Amino acid sequence: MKVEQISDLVANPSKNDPLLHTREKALSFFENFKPGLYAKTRNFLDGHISRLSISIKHGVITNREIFHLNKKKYSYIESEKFIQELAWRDFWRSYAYHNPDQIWIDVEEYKTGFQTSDYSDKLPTDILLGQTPTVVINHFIQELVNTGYLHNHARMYLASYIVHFRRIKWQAGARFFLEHLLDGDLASNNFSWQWIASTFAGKPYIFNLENVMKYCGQKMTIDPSQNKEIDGSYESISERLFPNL
Amino acid sequence: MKLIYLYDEFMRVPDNINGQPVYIFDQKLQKNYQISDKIIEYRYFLAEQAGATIYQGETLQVINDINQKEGISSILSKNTFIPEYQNLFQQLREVYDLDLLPDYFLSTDKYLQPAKRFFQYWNKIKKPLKY
Repeated sequence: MKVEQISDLVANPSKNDPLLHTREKALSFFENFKPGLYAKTRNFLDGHISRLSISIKHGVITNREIFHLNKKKYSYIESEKFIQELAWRDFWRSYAYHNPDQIWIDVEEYKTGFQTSDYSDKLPTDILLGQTPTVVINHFIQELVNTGYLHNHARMYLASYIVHFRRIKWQAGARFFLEHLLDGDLASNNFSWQWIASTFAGKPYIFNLENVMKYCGQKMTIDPSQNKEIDGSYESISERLFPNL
Repeated sequence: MKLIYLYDEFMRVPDNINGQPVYIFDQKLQKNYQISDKIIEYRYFLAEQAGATIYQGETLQVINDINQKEGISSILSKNTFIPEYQNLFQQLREVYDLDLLPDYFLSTDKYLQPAKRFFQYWNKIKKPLKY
């Protein structure tokens, strides 16, 4: 059946969404991109990032084109971190070509002291609605659902929260991200979730409130009394989350 | 008619390629997860930008219908690891002359050599990327 207009597919289409950019817009974003500044600030929520992932995901612009555009303007030394980040995406894809059967199953065992069967299959309602006991996590969930985008560091916090603080299978979180992320790439998404979970890494990725305040504090107000679930030293959180280790 | 089959990783017709682009919204091709209205809107927007005729339905059926009405001489698309598309391409090959562009990788060298950790991969591909 031919689709004549967007309202044939979506009940209430939104107009003029700033993230729905064209190739020309992606190229103009890149005009203002500075790889040296990216290397220094990319982990901060208000840091300098390329915002090209949505266009790369859809083949509107390729990572090789970006590499060559960058090469014309900046030295290898100041660009290396950015080039490495482009290569991460390729690494996940390359792995997926060799192991398509592992896209939705654990590559390795969890290194958390728990078995796969100890993790829940589904996301609970408080996570789906962004109404968890932890306010910063709710902020990330709402941003993801409302905008279709989330800063990479926020993705890592949210993924770690879901898998380790709430003991839910990474697959449930990976589906949630793919449902909402405009740049949701199956290989990067699922294998990054496995990296956080420790099923594709040597250890689980965890975080604490102090780390969130360091990297997100410039962009959002964080009240420790509303984020007690993630407060504590790495040692104490690790003992709490992984008592069998 | 040369048909250019667009899908979520291939939403732009590369320069100097002629043909009729089509984009098909097919829920069955993504069995493992749903996508939000925002993503549907973006793909519709990109399909329009690419000058594609946009359809909704089961992909093979839609392509066969186009073939019956207009005649397809060949199909062009882009390779991917995604199993559902690999299966689709295999089915299309049985009926049509299918040409797949290589997948988009940063490095032109050794990008498909197996590696289990990122830095093993990086060490394989980084040499030709240095300048």
